[in-house]
Amino acid sequence: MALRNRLAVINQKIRLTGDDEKHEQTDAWSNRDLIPLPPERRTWGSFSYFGFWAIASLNIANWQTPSTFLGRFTRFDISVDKQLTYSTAMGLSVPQSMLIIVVSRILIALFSTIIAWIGLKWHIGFTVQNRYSWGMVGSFIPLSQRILLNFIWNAVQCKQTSDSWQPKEYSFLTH
Amino acid sequence: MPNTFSANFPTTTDQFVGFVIFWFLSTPFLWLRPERFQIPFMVMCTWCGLGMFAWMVWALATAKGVGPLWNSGQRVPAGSMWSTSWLIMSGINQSIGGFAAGITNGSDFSRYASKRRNYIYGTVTSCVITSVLVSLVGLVTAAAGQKIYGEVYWNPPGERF
Repeated sequence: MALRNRLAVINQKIRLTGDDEKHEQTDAWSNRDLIPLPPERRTWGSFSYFGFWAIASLNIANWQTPSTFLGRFTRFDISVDKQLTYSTAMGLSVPQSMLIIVVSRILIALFSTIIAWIGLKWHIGFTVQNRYSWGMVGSFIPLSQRILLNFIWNAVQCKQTSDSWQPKEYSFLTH
Repeated sequence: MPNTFSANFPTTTDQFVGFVIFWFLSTPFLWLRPERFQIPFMVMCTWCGLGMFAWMVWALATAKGVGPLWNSGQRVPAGSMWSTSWLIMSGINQSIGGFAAGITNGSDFSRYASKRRNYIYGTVTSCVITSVLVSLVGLVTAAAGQKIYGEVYWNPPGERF
């Protein structure tokens, strides 16, 4: 009996609750994070979006982008367990590489603004937005794909950052 | 730290320990509500922006100029099946592809906008201007580093290219 009581207490504690006065209906389809955002929670100004995009711009991957388009590159080849140098990189010049970067960035900004417009207009997120094209139950398909991708990204970020802490023979910092 | 994994395992013990430690350190940030991201954003932008800029200044001051990488002209391999124009198209496609997933769920963040124009200002200044600058600064630093070390280091923490 004691165990059952304890389980009942845990069940009550982990239950999501919502403030009905703020229309935070809480059930399988709706909770505080899924409802269209009320005006008092729309707190992001221009700088917040600067910071949001900085995750995709002020990073090492972006620092290295020109290397993909210029001369040779090395890659870890798992089949032979070695760093191999490939000379089949694109071999473009510096101005051509910068052209690629500028054009692709402008296109990314354009497409992202078009897709983000639904959030700007209706203040609903990706998970709710899927429901009108996939159906209520069908929207779990893109949702689970996005969750799986998050696992991969989280692992990639942890790997890159933790690797950058390792003192290495070739490290820029220890030279 | 001795490597306790077998030799054909794709990571080493010290790398794995680093991975787990960073994972534990970064997980608490998942509890932050998106409404309150401003301070982490501020710290990160200042830190990374100043760090990258200082790096370029240091590399240029030490090398007193840039290495031959900066002037690398077009050298598409002779047997290449693509012309230069198609290579450029492929590069644009690759760059957008890397962001496709992030673009799809843009509304998860755009819904926090207090005004629509804030989203557009932030996107243009950060996603277009800052991002192109970071690539340029990375290129200049790698080229200056080539003059210092005689090799091109694209990845500051490790591997050499």
